[in-house]
Amino acid sequence: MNKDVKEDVALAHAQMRKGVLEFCTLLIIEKDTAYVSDILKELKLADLIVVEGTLYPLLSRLKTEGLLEYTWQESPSGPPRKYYSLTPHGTKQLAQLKTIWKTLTTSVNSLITKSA
Amino acid sequence: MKKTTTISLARTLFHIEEDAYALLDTYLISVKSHFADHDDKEEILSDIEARIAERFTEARDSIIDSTAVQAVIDAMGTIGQFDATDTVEPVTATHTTLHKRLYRDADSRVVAGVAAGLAHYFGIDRTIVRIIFIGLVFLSGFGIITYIVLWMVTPLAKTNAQKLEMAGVPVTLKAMSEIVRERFEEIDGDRIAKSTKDFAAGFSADVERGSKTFFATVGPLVKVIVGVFVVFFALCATAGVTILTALGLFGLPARFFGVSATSVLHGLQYSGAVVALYLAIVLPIIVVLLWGISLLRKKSILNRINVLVFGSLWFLAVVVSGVMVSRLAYKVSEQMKQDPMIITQTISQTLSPFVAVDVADGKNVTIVMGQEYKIEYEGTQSAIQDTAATVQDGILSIRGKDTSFTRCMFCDNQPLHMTVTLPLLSALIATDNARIYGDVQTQSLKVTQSDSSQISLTGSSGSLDLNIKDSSAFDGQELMLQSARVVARDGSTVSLDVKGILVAEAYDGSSIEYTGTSQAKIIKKDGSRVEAIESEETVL
Repeated sequence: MNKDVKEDVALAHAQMRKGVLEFCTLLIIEKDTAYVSDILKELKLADLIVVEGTLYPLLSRLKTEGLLEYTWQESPSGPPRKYYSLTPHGTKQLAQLKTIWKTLTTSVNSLITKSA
Repeated sequence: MKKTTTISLARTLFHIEEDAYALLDTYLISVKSHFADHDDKEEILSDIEARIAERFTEARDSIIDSTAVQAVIDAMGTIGQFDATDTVEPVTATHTTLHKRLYRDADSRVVAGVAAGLAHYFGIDRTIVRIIFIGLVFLSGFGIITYIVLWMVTPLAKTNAQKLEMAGVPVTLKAMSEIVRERFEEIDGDRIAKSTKDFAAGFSADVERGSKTFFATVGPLVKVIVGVFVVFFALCATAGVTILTALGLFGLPARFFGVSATSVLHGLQYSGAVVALYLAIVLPIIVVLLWGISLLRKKSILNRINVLVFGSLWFLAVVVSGVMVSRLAYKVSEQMKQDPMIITQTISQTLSPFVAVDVADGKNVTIVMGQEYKIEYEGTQSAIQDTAATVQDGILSIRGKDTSFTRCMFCDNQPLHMTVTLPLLSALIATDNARIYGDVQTQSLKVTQSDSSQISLTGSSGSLDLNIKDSSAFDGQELMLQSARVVARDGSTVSLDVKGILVAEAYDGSSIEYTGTSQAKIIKKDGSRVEAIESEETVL
């Protein structure tokens, strides 16, 4: 019984993470141009990602949708890196997402306060 | 101690232990299959590869072991975790795995893997498919066209995921590992480097080992065809030379130009010479044979050691047979000058009186009428010595002394010619391939012929009593006869010119032709033939 509850919670957590991963990735890139390692570091700090492999298809999709672009830069050690930055379209979309997120958190927070 | 190999990830070289390499390879293949249908798969894969390279670089291990690889896999996540945790992408990689697809199977191909691919698709043994194809080829070449069309339209199973699809196995990480493990077990040290290269190339580009186009594969097909012919002819040549050599060793052509090889080269020397000659001829053929087999197996079996062994053996054989042949040639030229088999002479011998001539053993005799009894030989010394002429009870018998068959290669087989002179002839006997030519004047003549003998007479005789059998021949068209009685048996042939009475009996496929007479009494049986033919005189 207890175990089932735990699994349900883990599943819900994963779903929530999935939902915000794209948003958070865009936020990290907005702050400063970033390469994969930077993005991963930040996402991990925020406990938003479990395995790194999932980021790559996401970046690929965001790039295809025209929200991201990248430039190659030499690395002090190892092969050249892809530095991602937001396109104007990406910036616009991120602004909308921010608004949605603010509304969403307000609603959720108010629901939490009410129930408490 | 562990074997390591070198891999290139994102253009960086890493030394990796072999078990760690197997683990990494399996992982990357699974990732590759996971994104196989993704529009942007190449970029995603090269990014993942770059990230793995970065992690290895950060770890600063001089040699990557399986612990390091496992750490990377844990961080990157397995394809199972991609689906279960944070993926926002639609999972597309599994939808094609439920049904089989038709691919060409390069791993078990003969030409382009069409038959093997079809066999996977229909779940039958590939030999059966091949037999059907070959059968169709013989049905007016339909199989070839079918094959080429299928070849062009069917994709090659390049990735492990495609190989699984071809076999109808769901593409799971476990099945992948199976394939990789199998492949890993069968490759040797040489090929690890090669597959490592492929592995790196396969991730960044579409070009992979085995992804040959139609035209690139025509070359190997030609090689196979050429290989079949080369192998076939080389085998025939080897067999032929071997048989000839066996005959040479065990006695057959022991004479060359009338010189007995064994009289020049004694015992072991002779055997040695034959073996050396054999090797000198057969070794190059065997090298050609091996080359043909190499073409068929697509892998050269002519390594340096083979070639070295064959080469030195051949050189030795050529030297030995060269020495032996020159010795033999010297002896031959020496003996040519005094060989009784080559020098011809004429010998005349006076005989006691006789009225009949009996010839046998393939001897060749011409009979002329004259006042004395004599025989004249014309031929090689040995042939003359081989012949005996004796008179007993009024019959001259001409026989061979040594009737055993002597084998001689390149011997100048000039036939011995004998001319017999006598005043009165009453009988001729010819047996065993004997040949008698004669110009005769006599009152009555009795002729007995058997065993493929031949007699050809001119001149005249009052009467002829001819008894002929065993496919012998009697030609008397230029022999004027008053009367004749002929009995011909067993496919013998007779031609005659008779003025008076002819009594002709022909049995068992014999044939008698005659000119000149209308008084013929004829008996013929069992497909025999007795016919009057127009003589030239009558026509004129």
